[in-house]
Amino acid sequence: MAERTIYMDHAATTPVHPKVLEAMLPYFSEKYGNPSSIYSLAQEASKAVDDSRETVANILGCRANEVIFTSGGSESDNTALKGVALACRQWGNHVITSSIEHHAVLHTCQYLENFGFEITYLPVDSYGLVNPSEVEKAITDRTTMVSIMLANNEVGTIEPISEISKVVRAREKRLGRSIVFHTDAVQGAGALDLNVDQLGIDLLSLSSHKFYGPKGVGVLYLRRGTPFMPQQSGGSQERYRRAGTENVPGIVGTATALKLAVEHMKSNNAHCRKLRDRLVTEIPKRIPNVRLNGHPSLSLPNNANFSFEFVEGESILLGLDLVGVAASSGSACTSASLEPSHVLLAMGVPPEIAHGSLRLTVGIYNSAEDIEYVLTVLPGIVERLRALSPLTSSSS
Amino acid sequence: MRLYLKIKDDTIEDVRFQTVGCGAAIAASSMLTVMIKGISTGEAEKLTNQAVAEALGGLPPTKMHCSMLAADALHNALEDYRKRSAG
Repeated sequence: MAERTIYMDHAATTPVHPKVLEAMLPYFSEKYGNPSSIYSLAQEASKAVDDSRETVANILGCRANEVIFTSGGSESDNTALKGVALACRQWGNHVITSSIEHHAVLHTCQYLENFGFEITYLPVDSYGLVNPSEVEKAITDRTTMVSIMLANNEVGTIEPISEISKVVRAREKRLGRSIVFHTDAVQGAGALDLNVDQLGIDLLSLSSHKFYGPKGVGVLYLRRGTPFMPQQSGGSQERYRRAGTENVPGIVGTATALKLAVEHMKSNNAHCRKLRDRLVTEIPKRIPNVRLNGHPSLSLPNNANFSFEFVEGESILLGLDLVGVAASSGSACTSASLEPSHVLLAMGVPPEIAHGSLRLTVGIYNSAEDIEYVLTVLPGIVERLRALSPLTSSSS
Repeated sequence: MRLYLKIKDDTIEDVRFQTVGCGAAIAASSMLTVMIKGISTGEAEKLTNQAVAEALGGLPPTKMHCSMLAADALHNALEDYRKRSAG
């Protein structure tokens, strides 16, 4: 086993930034009060939550009371979809989403189907892009909600959220009532602008551990006036919209991490893009029969997703792990369901090609040396697997 | 998963595999070849996927089907051999 991990899976999770950890620590054992309690110890914690809320609101360009802290991206997505679809039931039962959403959105939509909701899962093109006019065509007089992700986690494709918003708002006028627009922005935070008015959305999900914050905490932005049924009942926290004692250290960490990510967004993006571009240029030069998945330009700056013919993704990941590189794949063998990536399949990638996919997502701590190392070790791994494979053509 | 058997006098003289699949699939087929080289077709017939999994030191539940693939490949190969030698 290699000594150091070269971590190339930042879309899966990120390490907590040292400044974030530092900001969080006092709230574990010193300022540990429950923000709902009256005494000074608790009020310190309450203030920390308030300040964090302000910080996040400033970044999103919204009011502080439109920010809800959750247990992460999955909860934010669940709460957004269930909370709005159920509240809007009297106006309709149709929800529009895309076929490449994260499972937290897709499975929640499937769950809603059990309760009489009809879901349209919009197709995407071969780059993974949702077409705003397809959204437009799908809207009926029963549509109450649209949910499209800001950027895709597997291939990095950036969706035209502002354009989709224009289309939704235009149809709202004709319908004479609102259609609520949610975006899963989990992968976009730190790389893309999150201003809720620019994006033109009513709800937005964030997950802290994707932008160098802690796991187990996230954000749900909920525009004032949006019909909403709270999904976690209990105490009065989050103005009765999401019960439960606040995860004070997590919330402080989230605000600190988001602030850092946004402050350094330009330089972080430039850093990641440079490293990613080197992978994208070099890998096809060094390894034959490879294709790039995703859009050449409308893509997250840190995402590189390749498909290698004749081999399978998980075996590539194991080979990489043996030499100290951490990455992920859209192969069926790496998923608990044994289904290949629904994102790649929706993009029209043939199953055998989806099977041989490798996702490399770089981060702020990756260096040029890391990339060169990957470029050195990857060809041999793929070659060895191709030598073992019955699919490799013998005519090369 | 492809298995190639070289059989003489009902003994598996040599065996090769080709596999496209996850680590467990490659390991299962590779281990299979180690287990059956030099044994009779009769003995090979009795080999189960459990035996392959055990030889590997066990497999996670989600990967047990990879050992099935290996066992199935073996039985298909022996079946193929029987058909060819009969005809």
